[in-house]
Amino acid sequence: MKIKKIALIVLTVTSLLGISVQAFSHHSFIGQYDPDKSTALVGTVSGIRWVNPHAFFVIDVMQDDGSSESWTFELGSPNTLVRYGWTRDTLKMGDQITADGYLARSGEKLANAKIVILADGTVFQAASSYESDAE
Amino acid sequence: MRLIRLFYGFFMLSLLYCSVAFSQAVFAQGAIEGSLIDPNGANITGLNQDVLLINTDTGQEYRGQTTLQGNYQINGLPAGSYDLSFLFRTAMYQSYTEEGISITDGQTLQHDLNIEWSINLGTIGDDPGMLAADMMRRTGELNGPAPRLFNGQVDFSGHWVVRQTPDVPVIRPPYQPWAAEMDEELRALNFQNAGAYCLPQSAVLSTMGYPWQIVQTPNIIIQIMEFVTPGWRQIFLDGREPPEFWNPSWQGRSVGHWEGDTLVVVTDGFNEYTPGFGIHTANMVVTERYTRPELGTMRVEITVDDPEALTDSYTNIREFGLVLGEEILEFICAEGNTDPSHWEQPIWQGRP
Repeated sequence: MKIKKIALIVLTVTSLLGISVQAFSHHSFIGQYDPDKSTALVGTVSGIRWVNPHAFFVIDVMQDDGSSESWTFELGSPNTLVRYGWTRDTLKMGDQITADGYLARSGEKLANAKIVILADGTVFQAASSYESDAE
Repeated sequence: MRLIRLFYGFFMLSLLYCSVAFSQAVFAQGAIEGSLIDPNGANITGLNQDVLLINTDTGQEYRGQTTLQGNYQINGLPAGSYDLSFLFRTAMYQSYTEEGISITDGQTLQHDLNIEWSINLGTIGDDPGMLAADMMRRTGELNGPAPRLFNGQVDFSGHWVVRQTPDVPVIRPPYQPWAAEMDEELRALNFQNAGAYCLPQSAVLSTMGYPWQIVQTPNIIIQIMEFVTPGWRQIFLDGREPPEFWNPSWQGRSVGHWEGDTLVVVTDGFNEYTPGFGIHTANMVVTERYTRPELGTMRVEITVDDPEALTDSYTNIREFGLVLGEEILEFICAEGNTDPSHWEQPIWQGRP
């Protein structure tokens, strides 16, 4: 038991040696978001936080009764987004965009972003920045 | 008599050759091809991924590779039933297996593979594995010998990212019973880990897809890691002795020496919480053996010794690719970390 007391208590799924890059997401999105519940919303960008460890943006979504709901969409970290071609100005306040993502398990108006379509039709999706004509 | 035997042998060999040629002429070889499709319906691009087919009747293995556009093709397949599999080493996609794919004589089977998201659910900008693949694609193939410092030592300086090396088996820690039990308990806590609390994530080598940089001099090597806390590591090469007293620490204390062109780095003095090695004690010793067989490749053998937690030492191999034109970018984990507030049972609660 003494040994147990001094034992490391770090989960092996993050093991540098035992696993691979797969386990190194900052947190488990699947623990926070429900992969069986997704949503696609059209709204106006009302907030952007270019923040670690995960950037996020807020859109105001117009409801049938004329009111509006604010939805937050989580992204990856800024250093990764930059390498995927994002900048701080990719989304601007007031932009009309479509955001597609998985809903939070908590029931909050919160989702993680898997596709963002800008007003000019540019699509940012959760894939490589590879361009098909590059090979 | 000897001549007759010789003739008989030649005749049988000829017969065998003719029968093989006949069967190849009559039974045309088949093929399988298709695309890797993500849950958004888009091709999974940017990864060269090994695809493995095993004929379930003969056990024969056939291999292909996905293109950067996300297509694959394997030719030369006899008719039969096949099991298909490949391993994704990214946070974005789950590995894939499919059994009982039937291919008939001469058939080119069109067979797209629908791949599920992995733990990050396809979140935009949250896949270091894809990031690494992109950086290596932009760098392209690098040829040439490993560079050397002015004193002749192999120079590991540069920016590196982990390569996808699915053929390298991953060795799990051979735990003592108490450690195995603790490991199971922690797995049940749904992947909550030190990194999610912005504590150090990787003590010796960053195997995430983010780049890390080596700056080498004859007396010290500095490793700068983009994603992990604290983001740096020092390896002393000046032959210094261990200090009289050492407080166990997250990164431990690393001292290196050369064995020919192999850099051997021994690290001890870890605390009990250092991530990257599963369950261990503060007596763990990690030995890394760095080689650079060519300009663009670095291989590291990592051996872990910890008799109190392990029944035996074990060694894993990691391979890294040199990437050009990269800079280490800032990552400040604690800036807006809201993860712990979502958890009911954080594993670090109440612990030192």
